[in-house]
Amino acid sequence: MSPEMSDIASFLIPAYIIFWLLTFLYVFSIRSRQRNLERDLDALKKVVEKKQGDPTGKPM
Amino acid sequence: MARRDTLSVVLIGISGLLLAAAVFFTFTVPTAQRETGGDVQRIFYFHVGIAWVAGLALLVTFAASILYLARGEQRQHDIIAHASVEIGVVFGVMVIASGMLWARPVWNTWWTWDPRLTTTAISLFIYVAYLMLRGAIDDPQRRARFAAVYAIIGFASVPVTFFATRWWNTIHPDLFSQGDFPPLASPMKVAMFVSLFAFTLVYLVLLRARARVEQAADEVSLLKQNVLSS
Repeated sequence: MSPEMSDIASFLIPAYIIFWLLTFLYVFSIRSRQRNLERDLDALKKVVEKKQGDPTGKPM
Repeated sequence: MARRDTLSVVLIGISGLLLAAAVFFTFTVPTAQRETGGDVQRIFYFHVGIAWVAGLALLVTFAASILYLARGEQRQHDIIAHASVEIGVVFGVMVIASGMLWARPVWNTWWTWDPRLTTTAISLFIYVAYLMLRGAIDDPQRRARFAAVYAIIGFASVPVTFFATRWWNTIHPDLFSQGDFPPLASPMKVAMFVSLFAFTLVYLVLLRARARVEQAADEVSLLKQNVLSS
């Protein structure tokens, strides 16, 4: 490996690895938060629908 | 909803292509001369790109915070400010990490208390504290108002970081000063601008996705209140 290629391998490739790793981790964290909220939203909508269908209006 | 998703897919596609082009240019454009860094200088296409995004994210937070206070405390401005800080912190960590990787072969150390490095670290801590403080306040309106004031004051750290290389004696290269670097050759300029544009698009994609999480959280919170009060 030439000294130039060794230079590149020593900092540029790790820099890109850190960038991709952090970006994917952050995207994964956003996606997982979004999924949890969508699940909560679905559950709450079902509760509201049930309450509207229940003439006593009592919470489940 | 479908229109929003289509725009996100288009943005993701374009930013992916531009990022691939940026990686290609970073590894292939002719480099500066040995005295000004040689191949080590290639990291600037990457390091400057993510530093730009970190600065842009904090500038957007600053602007959104001013709009929040000036335009009747609209929730959408608070959402943008909060989402943008989070991205700014993630990119701030990347800036410091990539800088350390560059410093090791060039300065023979991972870290030194140089003014640019120190002010960058201080800015990062200021915005990490912003996120922690937001998490510590329960009342949404008080939290948003406090966060907006904090973000406006905290933004003072960003220009201080940018001008640190001119105001103090520093070993950190200043790309905008002719003394440290000769003017970039045309292919190097192309590589730099492709990189800046690619990272800016990545920021926009992340900002949209993160803002959508906040909107969904608002919907959940509103529905919870409705369920409990009915």
